[in-house]
Amino acid sequence: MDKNRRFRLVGSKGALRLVIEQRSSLSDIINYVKIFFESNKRFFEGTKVVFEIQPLCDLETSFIEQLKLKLAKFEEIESFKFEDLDLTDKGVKNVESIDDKICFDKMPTKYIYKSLRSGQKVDFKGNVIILGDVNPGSKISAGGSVIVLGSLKGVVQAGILDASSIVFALDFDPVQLQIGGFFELSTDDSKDLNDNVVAYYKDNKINIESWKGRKFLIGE
Amino acid sequence: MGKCIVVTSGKGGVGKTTTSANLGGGLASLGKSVLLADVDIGLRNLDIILGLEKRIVYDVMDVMEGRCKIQQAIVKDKRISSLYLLAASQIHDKSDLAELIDRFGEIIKGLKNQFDYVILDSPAGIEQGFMAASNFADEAIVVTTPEVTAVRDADRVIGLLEAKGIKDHYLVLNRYRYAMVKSGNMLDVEDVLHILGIQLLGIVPEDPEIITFANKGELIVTSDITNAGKAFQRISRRLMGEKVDFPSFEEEKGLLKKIKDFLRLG
Repeated sequence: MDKNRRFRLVGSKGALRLVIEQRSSLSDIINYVKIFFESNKRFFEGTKVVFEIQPLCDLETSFIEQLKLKLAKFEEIESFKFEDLDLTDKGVKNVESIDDKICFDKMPTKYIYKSLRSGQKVDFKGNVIILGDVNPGSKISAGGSVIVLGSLKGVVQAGILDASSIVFALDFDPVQLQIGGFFELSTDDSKDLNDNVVAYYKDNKINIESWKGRKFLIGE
Repeated sequence: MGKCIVVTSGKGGVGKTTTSANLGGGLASLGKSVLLADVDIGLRNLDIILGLEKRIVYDVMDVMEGRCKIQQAIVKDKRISSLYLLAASQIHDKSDLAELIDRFGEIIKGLKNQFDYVILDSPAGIEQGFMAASNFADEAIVVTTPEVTAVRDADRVIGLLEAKGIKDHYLVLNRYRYAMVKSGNMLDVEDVLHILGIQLLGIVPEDPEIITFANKGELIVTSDITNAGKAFQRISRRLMGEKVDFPSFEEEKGLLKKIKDFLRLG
């Protein structure tokens, strides 16, 4: 994902949050939201999300009204929340530091008792736990965390509705990894950590490190 | 009631037709009655491998469109008395088969009553031809070579077979080069099995004799001296439920290895 983007969508606690960091053109924002919904079409099928607009910069009321009007046309959006932050430091901080702890129990969990083979796809609005491998050519889209008790070699899109989600695998080698809308592509000179690896989003980037036990989960 | 087995791979050129023919030949040599059906409509090859090209008058499309009876379209093999072939049509294409898919199912059902094994040689790809072939099969044999591309496609195909409810699927690893595996330049059996996670039916070593035999219209499974022939014999026996050990490296490499070892010792 473009790190210099002036606005972005971040999933958080079951809602989608549109964070506008700098004033941008209305059509750019709408286009971005449109592409987001289109690329996750199957995921949003039949469900609706709460949409939060969170400006970090000065926006005129008329601009926000226009934005809301345009966004209302997306059938995936159930209701709006508008967080008018007075730009005190507390408010800004709140947006950037998405929870340190992952909140597994906020969402339902789906268990899959087989391997995902090339061409197979899983879409689920909550957490996904796979007791098997995720082979190259397969794809998982999850609202929450993805845990693979096997090797992970496919494409993972986790945390669509919650950027505090994690991706864990016993053998960690995904082709592409996405948490809460942030991308990480696998590189040829991948790090040596392949066993028991966890990935999470923090400090504006995806962190990939070896699993150090439950401490991470509860943020001790 | 016989069994219907589909031989498939996803990727082309990995040896589906060769495997189908030799497996059919192997099972027939072991006393079973076998029908080989070519489902690769429009690109038929099985008749050539078997050397029966010139004997074909009617094909599967003729049967399906009612131009002949099934018995008229079945051709008996020249050498193995219990091996039969139902050829594909060369002038039709896969969509013609897809239109008459129910009729194809009836034919397969009828054939299963007549033969111990009905082996369907599936076309490459995962489209209509593959769908038709796998729709009516009880078991599947997935052929792959130790290459990442072929393994990836095989994985996709296994997923599709599982979705169709075919739970019994076996792997034939074709064109295996022991020397390359040993030098680390080719995926080894363990790698492939780790990715695909299905039961291994057999490994066929790379053998130039396969081409020679195919060009002559003979089945390599009938040869007791070629490595590939022996491999297909073992595969056929395993398919019949016999427990046959997998030969070790040294045995497979045969004479060449022995000479090398001798030179090294000398």
